Parts: sequence; C-alpha cells; structure tokens
Amino acid sequence: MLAKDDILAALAAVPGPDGKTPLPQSGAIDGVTVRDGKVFVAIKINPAHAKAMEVMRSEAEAKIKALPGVASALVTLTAENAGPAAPAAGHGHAAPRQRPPDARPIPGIDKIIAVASGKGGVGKSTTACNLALGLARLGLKVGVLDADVFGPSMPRLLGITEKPDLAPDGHKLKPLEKYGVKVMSIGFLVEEGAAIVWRGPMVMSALTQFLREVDWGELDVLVVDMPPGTGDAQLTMAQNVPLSGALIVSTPQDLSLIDARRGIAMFKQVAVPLLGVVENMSYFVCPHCGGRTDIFAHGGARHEAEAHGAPFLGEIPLDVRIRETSDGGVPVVASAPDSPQAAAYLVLAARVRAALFEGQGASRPAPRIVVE
Amino acid sequence: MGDEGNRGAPDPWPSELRVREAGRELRIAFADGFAASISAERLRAASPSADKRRASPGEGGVRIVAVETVGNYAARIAFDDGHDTGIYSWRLLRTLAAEQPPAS
Repeated sequence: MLAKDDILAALAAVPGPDGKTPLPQSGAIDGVTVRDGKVFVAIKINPAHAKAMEVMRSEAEAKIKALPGVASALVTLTAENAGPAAPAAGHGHAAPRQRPPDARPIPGIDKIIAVASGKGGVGKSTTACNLALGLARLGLKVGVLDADVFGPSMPRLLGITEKPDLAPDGHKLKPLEKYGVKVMSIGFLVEEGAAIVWRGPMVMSALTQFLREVDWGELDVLVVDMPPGTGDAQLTMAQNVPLSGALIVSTPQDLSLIDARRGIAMFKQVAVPLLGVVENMSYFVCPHCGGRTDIFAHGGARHEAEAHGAPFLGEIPLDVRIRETSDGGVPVVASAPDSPQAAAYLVLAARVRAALFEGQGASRPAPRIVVE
Repeated sequence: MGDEGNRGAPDPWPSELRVREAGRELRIAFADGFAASISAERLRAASPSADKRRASPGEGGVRIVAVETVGNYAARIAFDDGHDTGIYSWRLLRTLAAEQPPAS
C-alpha cells in the first residue's frame, strides 16, 4: 500500500521553492492525498514566481510517478496566502500549471468542423472524406483529421499507406496529402488491424496532439471525422478547439435517428453550432431495373433536422459505387467527380461552405477575458 | 455539464469576463446587456467540478488567478487555493450572475 510517507520520501530528492531545501523540509507542501494509487500533492508558492516553480512541480510529479503502485500523480502549485497580496498586474494570469482543455484557436486553421454520428456504421467517415474532397473541389484548402482513434478509416478510404514524416521543425508531424487534402490519422501510425486499447486520457492527449502538433499549415477548413457516440473524444474536441460547427450523419431508420438525436443534444450542450443533418444510405436505386427502394425508410433525418431547427443538408444514396470506391481508396468525389454519386457530395459540400462562410455565420465571437 | 436550468430560454452568451479587485471578483457582461459581478468565494463554492479538493483556507478568502475559455460553451476558472478543474458553462455563470444585484 502506498502511504503518504512514501510520497514524502520520494520528494526528498526534489529541491523546494528556495532551490536547495528538500521539498518535505521546506514547509511548502500543503497537502498530500493518496487514493487508489492516485496521488495529489499541493505545493504552496509565491504566485509571483509561479513560472519559475514549474520545474519543481514537474520534477515532483515525475518522482511520484516513478514510485511503484502509483497510477497517476498530480502536483499543483497553490498561492501562499501569507504575505501581502501581490499586485495583479503582470502575473495575475500566471496559471499555476499548464493543462488542457485550452480553447485557443489553432493558428492557420480558419474553420474546424466535426462530422459526427450517434451510432457507428452510418457512413460517417465516408461522408467526411467525400465532403472534404468536395470542399477542396470548391477551391478551399482542406484538411482531414481522423479523430476516430479506435476505428481509423481514413487510411483505407483515401488509400494511404505511407507514414507521416517529421516537419522541418523536427517536432511536429507532417500530415500526408492525397487528392489535394491534408490528412492525419492514428491509422498512419499503427498497422491496419492493430487494436488501439486506450483509456479516455490517452484518447484525449492523442487528439490534442493531432490538433496542435501536426503541421497543418494554412487551412480554410479542417474536417474532423469523429468517432461514433458521445464520449471522451467528442468532449475533448468540443473543449479543446472552438468548433465552427458540427454535422450529424444518420441513416433514416428510427434506431439510428434516436442516436443522432443524442449527438445533436451533445453539441447543443457544448454550444457548438449545428450545421445540419445528412441522411446517408437514404435510398437504393437498383442498377438493373432502375427502381428505387427506401431500405431504411426515408425522410427520417429531414424530420429530425426540422424538429431541432437545424438545416437538412442532403441525402446520399446507398450505392454500390460509393461503397466500392470507398473500400478501394479512390473516393467517388476524387475518382469520378462528374458521376451522380459525387454530385450528392458536392451539393453537401456547397451547403456546408455556405453555412460556414456566408450569411450570418454560425459561430458567435468568443468573450473577451480581462484580468485587471 | 449538469446545470439544466432555464431550458428553453435563449442561450446566454457572455461578451466579457473581467477579473477585478485583484482576483476577488469576476464581472461578467452578457451579449444581451445584462452584467453582474460574482465574488470569487461564490464561484469557488459553486464549482461544478467533481474534484472540489479542500475548501479554501479561509484567511483572506480565495482569489481567481486565471480564466480561460473552454470550447464555445464555458470558462475554466483557476483559484489560488489550487482548484482549477471547475468548468463553468455560460448558463451556470448566468444563473450565478442573476443572483447578484445588477452592477453598474
């Protein structure tokens, strides 16, 4: 069992705020909590030196993490209450430690949109991929971020097997390019078929890296292919970047629409504007007789969109050519841009572009933050 | 994200968050013109975080050390007692602001 004394013993190797007295003797330790292998330590510091104390903080955290039986360690710096209040100017905003979520916009990226669905298997990735290619055909600079870390589809959809290189700065990853769009996916880094077995925090840090430590360059739109559902990945995206909007993909049957409703509710809760709803696998046209069958019923997504006051962005048919080109790594918008199948996506892309760049604009300005 | 109050009311949207009095209060102006100041103590006590840690030490009261936006819907407020995991949605801030006498 991990005891408080073990933690203090480990911290003896870390110099305290004065740079020499070991932390446990320095009197700066304000509290140690151990719970199920999770360790929390608070260190009192003069807030004027918060930045300089970051080294001590991370060192302390590393020492605790190295102890056997420690699942996680969190060391926070707290302001010493003794002494006169430091004047607010200058360091009033010196955060005690750096951690996500932070909602800074990403430099160089104008709009970020999420393509989401309530449940899996509705063709969300296929839609995201062809939408991105459609936006690129409209003349926009487009990137695709495959945020579905557990089931990355972009490598297959776009037929990419290369691995990303390091950018010239030696730190960021360079996205791969195909059909005129920049792409990043966890699938580039692991073998197809390998399973990513991660808990939430890993997912969150991977997504944060894909957003901020990929050399996206200048983009008009970054299309994010979200994993299905309403979990960690979705929340990370909603918290870490100011999303310009979200698009919900659903098939028309009730079972899918119920989940689509959850997706809509989630984006509402985090104030991400809903760009609209797309009905995928909307209908099937028989290639032999030309007869149309509404396999999953029809019009459900349109009703759902109307019920939520969201635009209905279009219907994509269930079509063997879309399926074949998707599985073959030659998406229909890139390989047959003049086909009727591609036309459905181009209409969708035009509507998304209009929603993002024309009219009143979907997103409201972020509030100003002032520290007096 | 548990504050479900005022369903149906238009979504509150702040235009400015201003930390005043050396961190002892937060003044919030909303896009609809409403504005109020909320004390740091009140904000600290109303933290929606599951991880509230220990309460503030009492002496002199708690101060706000940092405010940053979270996505489009909330702000994260860090206090000088080390608590910085509370994510305050615009709706929660509006509810807290509405408790205060309107400020000039």
